[in-house]
Amino acid sequence: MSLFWMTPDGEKKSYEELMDFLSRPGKLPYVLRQPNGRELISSLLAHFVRGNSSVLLDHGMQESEVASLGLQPDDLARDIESGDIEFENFDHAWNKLENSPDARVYIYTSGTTGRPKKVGHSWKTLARAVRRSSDHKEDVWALAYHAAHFAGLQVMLQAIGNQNPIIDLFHATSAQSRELMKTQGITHISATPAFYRRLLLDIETPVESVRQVTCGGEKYDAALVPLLEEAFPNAAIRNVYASTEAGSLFSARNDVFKPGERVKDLVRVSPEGELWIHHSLLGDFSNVDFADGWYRTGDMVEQNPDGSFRFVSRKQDFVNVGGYKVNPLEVEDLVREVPGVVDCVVRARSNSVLGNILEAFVQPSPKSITNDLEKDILTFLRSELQPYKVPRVIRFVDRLESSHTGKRKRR
Amino acid sequence: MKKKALLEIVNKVLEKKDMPSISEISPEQTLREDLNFDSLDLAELTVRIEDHFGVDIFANGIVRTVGDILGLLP
Repeated sequence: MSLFWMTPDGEKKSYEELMDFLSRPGKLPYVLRQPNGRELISSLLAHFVRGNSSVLLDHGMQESEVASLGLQPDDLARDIESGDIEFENFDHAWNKLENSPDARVYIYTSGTTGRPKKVGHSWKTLARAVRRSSDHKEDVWALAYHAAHFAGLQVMLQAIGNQNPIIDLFHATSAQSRELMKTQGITHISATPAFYRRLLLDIETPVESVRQVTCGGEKYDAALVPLLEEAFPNAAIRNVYASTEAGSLFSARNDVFKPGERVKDLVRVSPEGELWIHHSLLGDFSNVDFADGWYRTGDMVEQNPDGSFRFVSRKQDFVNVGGYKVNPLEVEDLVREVPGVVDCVVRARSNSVLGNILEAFVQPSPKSITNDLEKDILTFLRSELQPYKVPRVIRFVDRLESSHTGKRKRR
Repeated sequence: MKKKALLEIVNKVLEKKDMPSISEISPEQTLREDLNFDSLDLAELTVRIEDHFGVDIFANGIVRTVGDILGLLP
């Protein structure tokens, strides 16, 4: 029996059980919003394998948010009858998934303003980044993203495509994380920098089993790399650029991405430095205007003459402080370099004198004395930054609030 | 009480600028000249006062002196 899923408290399911679920007849909701990642992905696959479309919702969404998506009550209550299917083996089932050209899964991007965008993914765009080969036979994946989000789907599909175990770290407590990292032989982790910052606090000794550590979802955190190298001495550390709209597009060893031949002509940088992606690389959008065929990612990049580029910030991340634009991510990176700082988020606070001022929320390491730490942070920032970029208020917190996708909350 | 709390806030801003703290504030002291606050310091002062007193002192106009601030505090 090969392990398919393990919850933080040790409950296990096998791939045989998954196959059994996929072949069994029954009713499945059209709108999938199970909090349990295994049930969610299993239902999604059961729809796909029959050529049926479905909608994926974050179970954390409030009813009012669900209502604002434009889903009808009928949709929310609808079940789809699924007939039984015989699979000769796992590959046969995977084949069926690949040959469901009309099926879509609709995902709503977490859009920061206005109505979330609805994106429909075919199996082709959903599983574009999945690599199946005998090289991946022994991989063991940690799930460190929300299962209903694109990055979580990517992790689960990569694992399932190779019948690898998925260990649910996303819902694990500190003690459970420590235990799972120690005992489960995890080889691959993909997570946001914020998730790693927390995980590193939980791990007491280096984890030898991990071979690949992938950072994504937030700006690359260069100061994190040496810490990851220490915690995962046998791992290759890489950085991916991915979005809900396009999925994984580029990966790099550091923060300089070079688009491969396949996508090179399908990405461009606008005159003001925003990354644009050609619509042919995306899922199907319902409510986004592609007048000229290019999707505005909102990601600001710096382009090099050889076509490679570096991610600088999100367009809306910039804060206007008295007429100066500040990239809070730049400030956060520096704060994290100060000894005694575990993690940090810098936010704008509206102010009648300057429009906005910067407030830094800092998670100190357990032993640091916050009074001294405040001084150290300010001294260091003043030596590195223009005065208007230095946060005027520093608040020490036990734990940084993160959104349920695992990213640091900025608003 | 108001005065004491305001003195503490002023000193917090001064301390972060590596300026010597002051033992007293008086209503006629000007923020720019006497206390040597630049606009970033004033911005910080307003949020610290807002956190403590719940009042945005710059919301309705210009504040030049310590006395102006004291007049706005509840």
